[in-house]
Amino acid sequence: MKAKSIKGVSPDEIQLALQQSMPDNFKPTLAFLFMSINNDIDAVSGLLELQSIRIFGATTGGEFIDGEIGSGSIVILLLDTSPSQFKILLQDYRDQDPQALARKMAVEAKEIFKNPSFIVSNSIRPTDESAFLLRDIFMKTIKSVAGKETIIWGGGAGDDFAFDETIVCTNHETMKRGILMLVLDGDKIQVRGEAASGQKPVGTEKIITKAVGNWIYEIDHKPAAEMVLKYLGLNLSQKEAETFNPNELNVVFSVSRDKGEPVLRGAGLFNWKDNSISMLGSIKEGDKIRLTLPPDFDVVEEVRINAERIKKEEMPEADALLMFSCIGRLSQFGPLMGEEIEGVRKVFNAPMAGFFTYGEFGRARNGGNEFHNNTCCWVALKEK
Amino acid sequence: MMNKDLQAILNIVQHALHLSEEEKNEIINALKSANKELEVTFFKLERTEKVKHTTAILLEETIEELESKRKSVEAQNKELEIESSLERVRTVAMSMNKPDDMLLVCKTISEQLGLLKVKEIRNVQTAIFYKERGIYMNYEYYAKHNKTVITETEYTNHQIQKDFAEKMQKGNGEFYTSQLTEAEVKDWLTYQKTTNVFIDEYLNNASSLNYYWYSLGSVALGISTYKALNEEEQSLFKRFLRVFELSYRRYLDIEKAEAQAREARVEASLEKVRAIAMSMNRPDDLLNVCEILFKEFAAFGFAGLRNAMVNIHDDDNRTFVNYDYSDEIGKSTNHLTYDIHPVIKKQIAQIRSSNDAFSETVFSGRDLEDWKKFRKEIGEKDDPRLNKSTALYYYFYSIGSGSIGISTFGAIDEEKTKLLKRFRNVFNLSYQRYLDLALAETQAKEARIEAALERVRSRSMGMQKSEELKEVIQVVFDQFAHLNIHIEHTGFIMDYKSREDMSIWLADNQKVPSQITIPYFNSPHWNSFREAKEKGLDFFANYLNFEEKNKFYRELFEHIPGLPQDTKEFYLTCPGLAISTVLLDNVGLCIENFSATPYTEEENKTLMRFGKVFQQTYTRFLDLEKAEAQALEVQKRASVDRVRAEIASMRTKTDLERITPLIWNELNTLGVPFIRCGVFIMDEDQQIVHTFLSTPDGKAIASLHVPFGFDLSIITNGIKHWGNKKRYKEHWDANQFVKSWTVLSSLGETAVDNYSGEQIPESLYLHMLPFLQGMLYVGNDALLTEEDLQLVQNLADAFSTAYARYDDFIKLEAAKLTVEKTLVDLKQAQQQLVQSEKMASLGELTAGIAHEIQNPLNFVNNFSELNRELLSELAEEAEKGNTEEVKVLANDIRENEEKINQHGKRADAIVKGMLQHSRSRTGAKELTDVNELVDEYLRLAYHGLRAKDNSFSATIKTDFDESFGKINIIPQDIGRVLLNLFNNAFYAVTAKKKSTGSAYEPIISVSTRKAENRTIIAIKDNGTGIPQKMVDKIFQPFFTTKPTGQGTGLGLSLSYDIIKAHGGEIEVNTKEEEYTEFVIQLQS
Repeated sequence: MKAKSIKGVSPDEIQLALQQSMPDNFKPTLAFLFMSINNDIDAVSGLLELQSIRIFGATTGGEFIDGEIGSGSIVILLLDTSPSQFKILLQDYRDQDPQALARKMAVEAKEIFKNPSFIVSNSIRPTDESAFLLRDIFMKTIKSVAGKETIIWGGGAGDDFAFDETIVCTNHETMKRGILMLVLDGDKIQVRGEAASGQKPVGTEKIITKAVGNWIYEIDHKPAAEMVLKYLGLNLSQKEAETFNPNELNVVFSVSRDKGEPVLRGAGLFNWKDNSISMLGSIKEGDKIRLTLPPDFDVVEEVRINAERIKKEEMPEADALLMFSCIGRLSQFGPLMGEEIEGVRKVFNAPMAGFFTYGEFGRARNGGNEFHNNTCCWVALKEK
Repeated sequence: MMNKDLQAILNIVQHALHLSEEEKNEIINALKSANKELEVTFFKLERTEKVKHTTAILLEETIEELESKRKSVEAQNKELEIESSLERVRTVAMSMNKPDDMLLVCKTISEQLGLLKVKEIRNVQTAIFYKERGIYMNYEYYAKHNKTVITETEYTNHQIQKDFAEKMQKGNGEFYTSQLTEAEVKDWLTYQKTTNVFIDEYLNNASSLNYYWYSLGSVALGISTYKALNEEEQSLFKRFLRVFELSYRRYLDIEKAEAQAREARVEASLEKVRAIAMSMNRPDDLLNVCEILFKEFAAFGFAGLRNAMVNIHDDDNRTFVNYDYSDEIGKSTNHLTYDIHPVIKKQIAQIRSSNDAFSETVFSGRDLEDWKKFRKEIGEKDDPRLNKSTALYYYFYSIGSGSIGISTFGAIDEEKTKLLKRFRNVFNLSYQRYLDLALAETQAKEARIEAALERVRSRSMGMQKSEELKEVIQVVFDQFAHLNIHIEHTGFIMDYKSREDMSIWLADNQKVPSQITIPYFNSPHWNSFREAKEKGLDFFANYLNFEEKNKFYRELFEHIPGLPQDTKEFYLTCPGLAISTVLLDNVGLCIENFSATPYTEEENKTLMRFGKVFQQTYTRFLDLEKAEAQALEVQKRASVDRVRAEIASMRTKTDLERITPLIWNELNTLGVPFIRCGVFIMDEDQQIVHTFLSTPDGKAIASLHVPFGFDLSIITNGIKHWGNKKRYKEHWDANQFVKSWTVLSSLGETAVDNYSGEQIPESLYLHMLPFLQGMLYVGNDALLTEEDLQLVQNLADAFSTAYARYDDFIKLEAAKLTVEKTLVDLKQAQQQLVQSEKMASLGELTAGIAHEIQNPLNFVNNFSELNRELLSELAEEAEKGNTEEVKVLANDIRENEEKINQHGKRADAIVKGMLQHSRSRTGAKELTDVNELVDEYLRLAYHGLRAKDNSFSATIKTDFDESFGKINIIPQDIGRVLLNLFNNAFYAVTAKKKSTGSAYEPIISVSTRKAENRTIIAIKDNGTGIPQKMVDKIFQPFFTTKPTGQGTGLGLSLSYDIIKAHGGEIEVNTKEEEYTEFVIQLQS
């Protein structure tokens, strides 16, 4: 399998890049399209459609094909794998029971390939009370249908920090409430990756004492937003608070589970009126949480070393690389963000594309398939 | 965006003239790289700063939490300590079982508070309040003295105590505290020293005294300290209070339960006394009461209990009975007087003062010695314990008519006195009930005797026959038994004054005949009887021992034949004989038993009362005997009369079946013993014996008809004896009975089966008593006495007379039947005659009608003949064209046709009339023109006669009154009358013509007229008239003056009936050889 990554800030640039990528008998069949919601999705997908390339598309919170991180741009990872080895499914869950729909799709995938591997994304309206809960549901549903050990990677579509609307798309359809699945034939294509966060839980354990949907109202019977602000060392007046944009604050909680590793849940929106915060994943009343501190800067190096180990032990070569990195990591790593991306890419030295997500699907080292926050998930693909 | 300083360097470098481009680029790249490094470093610094900040906050928080955890652990430890202290107090408090145990609780609380670092504790104490006494019991533990004190404290004397006590007694949850200053403490101590409380010397140097009391209602827990408690210490003490409270409540509950248990034990004990008192049925049972009292008092720990007593007073006689019991001496009863000893006199006076009186007496020293002596003097049992004692106590409670009490060797406390009173109360209730019951029983006994006597009396008065005396004696027996008087025999001794033997009616449970007569023989009993009789005594009693009794009975059995062996044996094996006899006016009553227990005085008194009642019975018995003799005579007569009456009412053979029940009833009425009966009627004419027999229950079975020669001895001998007018007897056993009736069954009479039924008599005596027409049969299981046979013979004779009348009646009835048959024949002949009369009149009519019809028919024939001719003429004239003639002829033909038509109608009317006449007499009334009717029938009669005799002629004069209209009659019927009268008239004139010759001119006059509401029709002829002697008979049926065969004799009779049926009159006026006139009057 041959892969190429291209990028551009407009459809025109993409058209050019696409043309330039294809003279050497490279005939791509599948494109991972990650682009800003503010760019022209229809135009780009039209270009790809012209070339009969199947699209797995999602809007982003920033996109990259190498260490350079773009914003408002378009990145595409082109693959020339045989169409018989993959299938793209897209369904709108607005008028259906999302869980039943996910189940239906997983069942369909299972019918197509004996051992399907999944690359998934989805779009939500982040302000919906239960928007972030959906991804946990999808994850669990796919696992329950395809099996615990099934390979599932992916990331939730973003909207450049607007937290308003996100989109997933294929060649002819764009959906604001969609479940997007790329089903790969696991027997033909090897998929391997790792999720890493480096977040470190600190301080005392606290209990979510009031929550509705994915909104936390009280922690240890105290207003949730207030408490979070305190941790951040911010003393805001009511007026300041109401206009405060918390998007880059990067508050991440570690939620302990009855079984297995704790999962991370990043804070999304603040509601200053009732002092609540929304989480980018499922939480519930009674959950025990701890605040986490951002990873040490050497986590970048750690991720790279792990990747090298995997390359050495399991996957000496990769045809292509995907990366789903949490939008929260942008502020955590600042100018160092590129290093993390580039570090992994360099290990495999394969074409790569990725984007900053609103939550990540994948498994951490020694963990099961989970829906995460604040992780960096890299995925290597290799035709067998 | 590049760092300002670097940018400045960059600017310098870019504008540096001494640097080559290459150098410049190198420097620029280095600067850019440095800038990048700087940027990264700044970012790292900034982020680290943030993280540091957050970490600091988290650290602070963590430290805070740790601190709070530490505090919490400390608090927990402290709490644990407190809990374990509380637990120690709880353990002590839980084991409280008396108020004194509170001391240990106070001590434990004090120690534990000390362990929990409460300083300067003076004491811990409790107080139990008794408001009514104005005191509280104070249980205190002084920590520094390590001393416990219990003090009864009057709280009304000092304001501090008063305030405290009042506050505490307000109820559970109240809190009292007071802090005394040093000076106040001094004052307080000074006061305390005037009381009985423990004096705490530490107070001398105390700077303050602090009280903290918490009320739990009836009890309060408090602490006093030399230094005020802080809030924490107070709340700590309160926790001890809670523990104490729970335990104390439990203690109260236990105490309550114990009190209840004690009370239950008392109740159980009282219940025993109640039970024994309730079961009393005689005074001596009071000893049992004393025993129970003694045992119960002993069980309740009455120390030095000597005995338990009940005294029953008799105020009338100033005596009393003393019942007492002790385990040592047992039961004893003493009869004493009120005045036997001054102390007793005093005690009784005290007791009698009220129903609730209490008497307490103490003997000691000299008094006691005197008392011991006195006891000996009055012969009371020796009491070794009393001899040793130095004091003796008596406690009595009044029970109204006496007292209940104890004596003891030591004084009893108030509680025991109360207990004694409770026993008194319970006993008293039961004892009063016993007294009531005893009274009620006496009354009931009297009532029972009265009721028993009443039963005897009413049975006596209810005697309808003298023989019912045996039922009366049975009632007497039963009533004695009912009164629980031991009795095995009772007997009425009849007419003893007027007899020289014993005539006794008996009742018992043995099979002794209910009536026996025994001569006097030498025996103790009979001798006593005769002696009493001679002396005129009204009562004597005898007692025979076993031998005496057997001697008496052996002799007695000689005079009672047929007594079963087992009965004899019974008498001979009984232990003895006790007899009480009451003698009255010529009659006696005795009761006996064989268990050799003489009757008590009371029982004999009852016997006397029965005797008096029996005297009345005897009188009634004599009256009945007299009345019965008279009644029997009356019965016989009545019976005979009934038989006569009954048989006289018999009319048919079936009635004869009533014979058997009749005989059955009469035999019953006459009191003749029998089990079957019947009548045999000997029919010599037919040589048959008609038997009428009864079923065993007195119903008749269908009569059997047995030929004279039937081979059955009862028949053959029956006939023979009847012939000789002799009675005949025959005896059948069961076999013969069956055999004889089998023979009779051969006659084929099914009813025979009913005779025997299911009861085949073992022995049957058949008595046949002759009477004129047969034999009366009475069957019995024993031979009838002559007396009975005479009664039956009377019945037979009465039956005979009655049966003879029945026989006569049967004959008369046969004659009557013959006459009746003749009458029926006659009636049939009459009906035939009426029919032939009817036919005769119809014949006459027919003749008239034929003539009537002939006339119109002639006209019809003639005119139709004429018309035929005229039509021929018409045809001719028409051919000739003679139109005028044709017209004339046609006119003639039309006129003739009219006449034909007219006469045709007339014939039609005649035929209709005839049809009407021949109809039966069931016609209905209708409005009819009388004149027309008369005219029509006159002509019918005339022409009818003319048809038979054409030589006949007569002058007919009619005079019809045209003024009246139609009247409501049955025209056919009236027509028949008229026809009859016209025929008679024509007949009369014809007869006269024949006898007188041509000179005679027959004239018939018919007239009608109206008079008031009546229509009168008169028909008169001048014929032969009716002889005067016959006038009265002419309207009788079958009377006729016509020669035989010419008249039925019913014409006028029928006419008369018809007119009468119309409510009218018909009469005749006649003179022989001159005229006859019939006048009919009908209602208009």
